[in-house]
Amino acid sequence: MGKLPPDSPALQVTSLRKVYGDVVAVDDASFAVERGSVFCIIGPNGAGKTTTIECLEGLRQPDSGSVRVAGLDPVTDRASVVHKIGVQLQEVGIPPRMKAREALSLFAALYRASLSVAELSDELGLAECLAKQYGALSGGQKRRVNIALALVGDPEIVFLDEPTTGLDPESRFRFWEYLRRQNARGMTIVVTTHYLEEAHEYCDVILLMNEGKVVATGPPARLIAESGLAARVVLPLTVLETVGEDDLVALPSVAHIRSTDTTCYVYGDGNVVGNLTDLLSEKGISPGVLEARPANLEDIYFLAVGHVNPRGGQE
Amino acid sequence: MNATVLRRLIYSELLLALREPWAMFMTIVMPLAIFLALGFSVGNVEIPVDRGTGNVEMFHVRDVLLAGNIAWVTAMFGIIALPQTLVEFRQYAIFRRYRVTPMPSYMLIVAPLAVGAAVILASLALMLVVGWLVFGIRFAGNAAMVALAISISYLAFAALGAAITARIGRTRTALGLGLTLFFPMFVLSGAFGPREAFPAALQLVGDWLPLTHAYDLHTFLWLGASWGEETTIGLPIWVSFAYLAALAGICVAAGARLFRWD
Repeated sequence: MGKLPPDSPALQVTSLRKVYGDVVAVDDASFAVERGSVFCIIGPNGAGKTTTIECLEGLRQPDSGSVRVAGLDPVTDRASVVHKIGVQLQEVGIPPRMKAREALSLFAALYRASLSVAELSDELGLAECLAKQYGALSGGQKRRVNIALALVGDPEIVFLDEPTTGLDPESRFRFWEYLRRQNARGMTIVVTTHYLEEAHEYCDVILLMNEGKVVATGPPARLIAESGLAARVVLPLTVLETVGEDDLVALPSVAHIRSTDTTCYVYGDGNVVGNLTDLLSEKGISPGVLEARPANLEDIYFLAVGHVNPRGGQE
Repeated sequence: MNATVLRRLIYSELLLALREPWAMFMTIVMPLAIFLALGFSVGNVEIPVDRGTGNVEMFHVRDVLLAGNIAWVTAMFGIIALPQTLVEFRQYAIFRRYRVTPMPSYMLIVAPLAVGAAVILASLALMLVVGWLVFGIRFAGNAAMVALAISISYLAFAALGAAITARIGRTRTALGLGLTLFFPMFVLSGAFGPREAFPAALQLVGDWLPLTHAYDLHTFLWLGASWGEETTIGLPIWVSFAYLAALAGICVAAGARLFRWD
């Protein structure tokens, strides 16, 4: 793994815009990725995550704005950039009749330095797949082979587009542990995922995109802190109906309320649980068990994206 | 480093080709089977060749079967097998995958071409050995000229195949198109049987087909004809060579314009 110039971020995206026909895939996105960080892009389908990554990989040309990879333009400086990056695409990318070992050996030969195929296979649990043709592998095995192909060239920066989709929990754990070890060696990691708990646990910086725009960026803890949310309380919908939504919203600690057909979610600061308990007590309402937990990335995500409640209801 | 990468890629592509039994059957087994079948059935039919010296030299159909077969093998590889590989690269995002690696793009064209050349050579070598052992076939031409003729045929058909499938994203579509183009050419070129048996209109169509030119080019040069000698098309041999070279040039230019990596 080589070294990036000390004065440049690993990635710099400035006012990136990419349009497909009438659809604005990425709209004025700007952000930087520090060297040696684990950077995660989250957002709903169609948010512009993959397009942003593909512009950084040089697979797509921005309509306006600029992207820089280790200070280089990934389209015009392709010859240099491809030696610095490792890429895992969402698509297949490997002939179905090619054996996993052949693919890994071929890709290893493309780079000036490469990781040991045997070691990499062992770390990612690929040993039993190596002698099989790619087309005969399961979805999870294919995904792991693709991850290994992205890493085998020992890149300075690796782009992983939804790498853990379809992986079982053990494979996901092994993948993240291995990735963190590579990160400790200095590898910059850019990943997209729909698994918010993974993003929270393993990534240094989160970039939240929605409808092509950057909605929020920062370390997960900071995003939560800056949101002003400290806790989420779950109430039966009947309680909301009895108390009245206006009274609930009037509580100074309540920041946001969402409800489904059966349930009401109340988001607020550190006083929200106490204020709610007092209010219910004043009104002589016993909610039974009051379920509360600290706010997390998922709450930030849904409040920022603001569409459909993943548990079935509308905001 | 590039030479090593190209060698590795060619090796990988060769392994993939060997895992495709249909392609191996069509380019190795079928030409040999047809060679043997025609050799045993009409191989003894005489072909008198008069070079204008007053001496008529007598050859047999079996002597030119190999040269003719190699013409349609190059066409089959160029129009059917090579596009399968290139379209598969597109269909499975393999072109895209390699574009984000240090693999030079040209290698993705060169490697399948090299594998095709190896398969055609293997087919030729097999027919040569079997033909020599079984039929005692004669070769009266210049080996370098014949090699040049086979090369230009291969390039022309490969360029044609790549150009017509430059935007096709499904191997099935490419296969359908390839078969639709190949079999009429195969029948009308003379490779399937004497062109004289067809009505004049079909013979005229055949005159314009690249496989007819490749077939005549190969067989006439195999028997030692000079570049000025007239073929069954009624034109000097060099015209067939120029026709195939022009086809290769046009298809390379068109293919380069039309070609889509995605």
